[in-house]
Amino acid sequence: MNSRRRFLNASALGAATITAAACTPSGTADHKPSTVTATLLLTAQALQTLSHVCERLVPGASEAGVSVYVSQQLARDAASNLLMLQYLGIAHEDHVSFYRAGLSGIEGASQSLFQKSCCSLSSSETDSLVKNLLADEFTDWSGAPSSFFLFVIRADACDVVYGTKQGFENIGMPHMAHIVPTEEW
Amino acid sequence: MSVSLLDEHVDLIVVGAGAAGCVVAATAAKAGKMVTLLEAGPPRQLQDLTSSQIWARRLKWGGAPVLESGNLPIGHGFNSGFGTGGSALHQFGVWPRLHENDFKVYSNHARGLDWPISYQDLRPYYDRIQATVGISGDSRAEKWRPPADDYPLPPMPVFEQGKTIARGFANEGLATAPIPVAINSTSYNNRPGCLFDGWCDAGCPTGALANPLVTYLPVALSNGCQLVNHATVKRILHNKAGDRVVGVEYVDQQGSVRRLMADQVVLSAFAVQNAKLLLQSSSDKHPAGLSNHNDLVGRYLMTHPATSVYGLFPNQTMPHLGPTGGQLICQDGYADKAKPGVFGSYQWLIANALKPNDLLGIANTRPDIIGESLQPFMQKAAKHMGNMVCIGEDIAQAENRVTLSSRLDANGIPLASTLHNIGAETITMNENAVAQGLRVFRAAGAQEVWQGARFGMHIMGGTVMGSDPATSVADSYGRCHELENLYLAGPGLFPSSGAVNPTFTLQALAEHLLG
Ligand SMILES: Cc1cc2nc3c(=O)[nH]c(=O)nc-3n(C[C@H](O)[C@H](O)[C@H](O)COP(=O)(O)OP(=O)(O)OC[C@H]3O[C@@H](n4cnc5c(N)ncnc54)[C@H](O)[C@@H]3O)c2cc1C
Ligand code: SF4
Repeated sequence: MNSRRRFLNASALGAATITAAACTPSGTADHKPSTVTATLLLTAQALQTLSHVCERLVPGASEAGVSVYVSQQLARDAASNLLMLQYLGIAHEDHVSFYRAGLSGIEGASQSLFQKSCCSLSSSETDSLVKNLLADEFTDWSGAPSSFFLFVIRADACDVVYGTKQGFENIGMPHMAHIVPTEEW
Repeated sequence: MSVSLLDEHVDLIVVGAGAAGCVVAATAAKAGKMVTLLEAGPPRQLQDLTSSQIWARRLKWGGAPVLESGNLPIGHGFNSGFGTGGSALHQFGVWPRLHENDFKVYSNHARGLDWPISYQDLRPYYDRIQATVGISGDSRAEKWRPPADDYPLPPMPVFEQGKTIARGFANEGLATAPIPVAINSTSYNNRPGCLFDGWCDAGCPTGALANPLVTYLPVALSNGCQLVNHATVKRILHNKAGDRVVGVEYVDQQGSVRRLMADQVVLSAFAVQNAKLLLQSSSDKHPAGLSNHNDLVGRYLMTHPATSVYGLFPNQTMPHLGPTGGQLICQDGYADKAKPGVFGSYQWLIANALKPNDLLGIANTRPDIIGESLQPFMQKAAKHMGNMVCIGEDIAQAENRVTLSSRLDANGIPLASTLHNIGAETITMNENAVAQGLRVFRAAGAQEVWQGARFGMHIMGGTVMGSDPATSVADSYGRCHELENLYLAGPGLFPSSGAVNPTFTLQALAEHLLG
C-alpha cells in the first residue's frame, strides 16, 4: 500500500511515469516482468477526480489505490489489461479516451453545478453530483452516458476494495484460493 | 511486416486451441495425422489460473476488437477467451445436452433453422465425450433429459444456497435436479474431485473441471501435435480452381507473416472469428469470402438471452460454496417452445457460487447501492444471498450477422462487426422466465429480490450447418459446401441455439466431424 500511496502523491504533482515492472506479477506466462516504462495516461487532476468520486461510491477505494489500478491497467496492452471495461463493448484502443472523457465530464459537471473542482466538493455536494450523474440528469455531457461511466468506475473501485483476499475477509467471505495471486492486480 | 513463406507442409492445420480445436487435434493426432494447432493467444498452464476475479480477465479475448450492435449484443468481450484452451479454459463446465426438439425448430415452428442431423445422430458422440471427460449428475432426477447413457460420476453436493432456492421451486410446483457438470464430483480419469470453492470463472487449476488443458490437449500433444502460440491466422489459401484449400497464412508474435500448407484445414476459432476468417479470405474465386457464394457466411449469429435473479434470505446461504456454474438445474417446460406471442425454451441454472467483485459478482448486482450502505450490504450478501440465471433460446435470423468493418486492426485486417437483435417473442419469453424466477425466490422465503439486466450468454451461429448449400455454409460434418477439405468446428455451426450451454454439444459435433 505504501508504494501505491507514494505513486499517488507523485502523480498528484503532475505528469509522471510509472514502471510497469513494479506492478506486474512474476512467473506467469504472459506477464513477465517488463522494464518498459508506461507513460501516465491520465492527468493528475483526472486521477484525483477518479479517486474522489470512487471514494464516495465505494468507501475505501481511494486508500485501496483505485487510481493507481486504473492508470496501470490503461498502460497495458489488450491481452494483459485487467479492467472490467473490456467486457462492456468498449474496444481496448478506446479505453483511455473513455476514462479521459468521463473524468473531464465529471469535472465539468462539478464546475457547472457548484463552481468548484470535484475534488474540493464536500461529501454532501459530491453525493448530489453523483446522484445527478447516475440519473443522467446533467445534460452538458458527451460520450457514453454518465450513469454508465459511474457504473464502470464503481466496478473498478469494487475490484480494489472487495476483489482481494483482504476484501473478502472484510465482508466475512472465505477466500479459499487455489492459487493466491502474487500481486493483487 | 516481414513475410516468411516457408511452405512447411502438414496433414492437418487446426486453427484455434479451444474447446473444439483440441478435440479435433487430439482425435486426428491419435489417428496418426501430422497436426499443427495454430493459436492466436499466449500459452496457458494450470498454474497461471490464479484465484482472482481481477486476474481472470487476462483469459478473455485479447485479439483485434469485435464491434457490437443490436438490442442484445453478443458480449464478445465477456463470452470469448484467448490463448491455449480458448474460452473453454475458464468455462464453468455446465454441460446439459440439447433436447430432441431443438434440432427441428423450423419444421416444428416455422422459425429459425433445422439441424441436418437429429439428436439420435449426435447421441453416440455425446455419450463418448461424456465417458472420456467425466460428467457429474443425476440422470433420473433430470426428468427432462433426452435418452442418454447415465452420468459416469455421482452428482455434485447441494449446499445451503441450492437447498434454499430448491424449496422455492418446489413451492411453485417446479422440479430441480443436480446440475450436470463436466466437473469431477469425485476423482475420475486421474483428475481430482472438486473442492467446491467457486473459483471456476478464474479457471480451475486443479484439473477437477474439464478444460482443454486437462482433457483433449494433452492427448493431442502426446500424439505429436505441434501447438504454435501467438499465431493469428489471417487468411485461408486455396488452389487455382478454388475448390480445395492448400494452407493458411498467419501472423506470428514478431508480426511476421508465415505460411503453412496442409491437406486439410479445420477452423475452430470460435463463432465470430471463424466467420471473420472466411470473410477476410476473399479471392478471385470467392470474391465475397470463402464458401460465401450464397451470402450466408456470418449470418444466423446467435446468443442466449440470459437474466439473473437475486435475493437475500433470512437463513445463511453460504453463497461462496459450490461451482460457479450452479448447483441445480430446472428445465421444466423446456418442451413447450411456442405459446401465443412467446417463443423459446429456457432453463434455470441455480445457486451459482458468488464472489464479491466482477461483472457477475455481488457488488455489481446492485449498482444502485453506493456510499456507506455498500459495506453492510456486502457483509449481509456474503452470507445470505442467493442467485440463479435463466438462459433462453435465441431464434436464428439471417439479419443477425458478422460482417467486416471498414475499421482495420494493427495488421491492416478489417475488424469484425456484429449485429444481434432479438424480437418480441424472445423478449417475452425472457420476461416470463424472469417473472417466474422472482416468484420462486419469494416462495423460497427471500426478504428482498431483484433482477439483473438481460445479456447475451454464449455465442453461436455465423457459419451454420445444413443439408442444402443454398441455406447453409457447411454440411452435417462441418465440411464447407464450397471447399471440400475445409472444415468448421465449434458452436458457429449450430443452426439453432436451444437453451442449453453449448460446449458439450460442440465437442460432440467435433467428434462427429471425425466419425
Ligand atoms: C466465462 C465463461 C463461462 C462459460 N461457461 C460455460 C459453461 O458452463 N458451459 C458451456 O457449455 N459453455 C460455457 N462457456 C462457453 C464455452 O467456453 C464456448 O462455447 C466454447 O469454448 C467455444 O469453443 P470453441 O472451440 O468454438 O472456441 P474457444 O474455446 O474460444 O477457442 C477458440 C480459440 O481460437 C483462437 N483464435 C481465434 N481467432 C484465431 C485466429 N485468427 N487464429 C488462431 N487462433 C484463433 C482463440 O484465441 C481461442 O483460443 C463459457 C464461456 C465463458 C467465457
Ligand atoms: S469449485 Fe471445483 S471446479 Fe471450480 S475451481 Fe474450485 S475445484 Fe475447480
